[in-house]
Amino acid sequence: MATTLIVTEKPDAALHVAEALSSEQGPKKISVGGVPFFEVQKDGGRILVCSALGHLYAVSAKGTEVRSQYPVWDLAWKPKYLAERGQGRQEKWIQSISIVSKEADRFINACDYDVEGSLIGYTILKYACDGADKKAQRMKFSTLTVKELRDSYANVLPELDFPLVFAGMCRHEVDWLYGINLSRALTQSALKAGNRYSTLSTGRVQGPTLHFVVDREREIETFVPLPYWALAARVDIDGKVIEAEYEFERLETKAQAEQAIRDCAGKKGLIEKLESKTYQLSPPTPFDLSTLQSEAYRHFGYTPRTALSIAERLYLDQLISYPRTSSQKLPPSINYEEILKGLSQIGAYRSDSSSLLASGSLRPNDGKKGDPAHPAVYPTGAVPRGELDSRGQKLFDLVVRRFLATFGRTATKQSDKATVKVGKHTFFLRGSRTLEKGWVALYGPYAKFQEIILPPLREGQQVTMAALSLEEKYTQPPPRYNPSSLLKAMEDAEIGTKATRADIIETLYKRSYVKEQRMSATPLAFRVTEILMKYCPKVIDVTFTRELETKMEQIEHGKQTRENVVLETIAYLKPVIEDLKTKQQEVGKELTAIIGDRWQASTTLFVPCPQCGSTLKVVRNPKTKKRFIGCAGKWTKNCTYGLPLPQFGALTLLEKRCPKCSFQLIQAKSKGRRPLVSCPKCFMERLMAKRAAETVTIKPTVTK
Amino acid sequence: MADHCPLCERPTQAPSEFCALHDAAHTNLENAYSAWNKSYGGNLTKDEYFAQLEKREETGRAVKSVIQYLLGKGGVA
Repeated sequence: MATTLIVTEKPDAALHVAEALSSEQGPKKISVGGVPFFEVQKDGGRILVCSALGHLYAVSAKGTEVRSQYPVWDLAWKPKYLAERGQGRQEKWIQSISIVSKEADRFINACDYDVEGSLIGYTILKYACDGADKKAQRMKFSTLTVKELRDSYANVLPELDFPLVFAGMCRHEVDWLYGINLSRALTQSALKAGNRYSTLSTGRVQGPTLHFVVDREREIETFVPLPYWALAARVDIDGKVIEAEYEFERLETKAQAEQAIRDCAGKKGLIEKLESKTYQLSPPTPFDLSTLQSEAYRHFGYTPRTALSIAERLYLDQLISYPRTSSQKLPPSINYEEILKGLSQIGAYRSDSSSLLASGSLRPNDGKKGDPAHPAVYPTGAVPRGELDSRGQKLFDLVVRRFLATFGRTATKQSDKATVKVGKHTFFLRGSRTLEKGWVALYGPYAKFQEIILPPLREGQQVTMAALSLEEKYTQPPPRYNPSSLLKAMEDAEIGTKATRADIIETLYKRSYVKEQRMSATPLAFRVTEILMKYCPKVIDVTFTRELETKMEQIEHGKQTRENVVLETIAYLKPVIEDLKTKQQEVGKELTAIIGDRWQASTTLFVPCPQCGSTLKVVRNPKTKKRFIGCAGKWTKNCTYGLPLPQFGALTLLEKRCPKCSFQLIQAKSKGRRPLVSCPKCFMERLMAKRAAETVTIKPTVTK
Repeated sequence: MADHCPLCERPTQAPSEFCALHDAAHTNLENAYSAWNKSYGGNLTKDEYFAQLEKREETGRAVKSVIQYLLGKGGVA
């Protein structure tokens, strides 16, 4: 019997593909070596659908890898479980796919249609399925809905999307060459010079991204505010007091400001001119990934990575289209009407969807950006099967509301301005109102505009300056980046891809280069950036990184070859890394002090011992290996003060105090869990109180 | 002149006695004085200028370190 093997990217996607292609009885789930496959009988043949677990193959050093060795220029694609630690589960996955592939005579890559998905499918077909990449076909889809999957299978592309595959391979190879060589150069330099191991990393995109944060931090650290004065005024118009705006936002000298107050206080003003302007506000463009991430941060505070992972979950649940897209366009082929009909089945969107359907013409306000692989993010029109969790519900609502808003009518606003003269000084009264809501009503809570309605006014009308005050202000330093604005900066600089930017930002936190939500660069980040600036400035040069990015994009369009780009990378990196190696001791010395300070800071509390005033430190019991807070006065003052600590997760001493007792707060973060912030002192006090309450008091029995 | 910045571990940027960061902070500090003095009618002493900046949370940390260093050296003239 003819057997087709379909490779998908994730287990949920495998199930959806199998369900879409099966007849009424549904797919049969089988297990091969503990790995799930779905079997479907179709048109007299058999289809087996399997899934990857993300990338099953990765770039690694050719031959046996010695992790401390650099430079490394010879690379090979290897199973990820051999190339990286902690990937053991993938071994049996590859083995099972390999066994099943022997029964197949037709192969289809049905991973997500983009560079990463094309590469995931290609490496599995090439390495686990004995070179099946040469005869494999490609399914292309943007949603996991039954209709689209069936269409995609019926119109399967005759061969793999090799330009995308080679672009993906090139990106992984170039990033690996950068990452492995530069990161090892930094880590080994620090280890050799200071005998202290600390993972230090940089990369083709990570370097310039960290440079953004360090540059901003430098501006903030060296910022000198300048004073200025602002006039706050209120005018009384027929008993109604409203805010007025002085003609100059800033007065540079105190004398000017005080003169203005003397000239206007208690005086009458005259409305000299009334102006009204109506203007149109176009609907928003459909969501590309970065705009979705930016709106999710603005409204819900989700980091770009969190927003992407929630969006991917919604995609796997068939509720929205593929989120990793650069497109701001919604082609008619997605069938607007069907989607709106689907959304009208959901109570919250019934009225808005129905009114759009009734409007007759549906035309989204497409943006400029396009993506050859996918349209903008849109809801599929499917009704959620169960109740979504709170975060999923919020993001789903945002995607739906944005989709509806892009079809909305233009909103009409009116701005009003009254010019008030008080002697030679000018003040303005400003109002703003919405005349026609249009798309604003459809976007719901995500479109916020201030409405200020001015009372009826006429030219020549007299007004009284009801209150006038002077405020001394100071210029402000530039704001720190947050994950969302940093992602935007990366996008504007055209470095990284929609698939990698959020992860790179997370790595900056993981390496202790940045801290806090409002990202501040640590001394280590300064030092690493300074070293890269000194020894290999191109590595953190945005222009150079962008040029490389352009070349890799050209591979997708067949205008550049993977081999050329990899060879050019090696030609640039080779002298840089060899130079770094000769200066290993010098580089190491520059890093060691900071690593030592970082280690010291990560184990020493800023609050002193409440009993003896000595330093408190995080220590481990040499026998039990349990960690706790101990007092350095133990050896000098016989102090026995100690506090328990959480035993699991990465521990961070926060630069914050407990609001209750002012002790230093700590954070324990385990993988896949929310960080646990707690006060060790309050915890100890609660524990003691609980133990005291649990102690059973036994009353002595008195025998008469 | 010392090889290292008196305020941190970093190497100095000749001809400055400070590293690149503290040198930039020092330059900004010196350049902003005339604007501050003008704002307050030309009667602001450097001591008052430094005191004002030390109070402000907008003032960069490196600038505050330079101020403390200059005050410690008596270098406010």
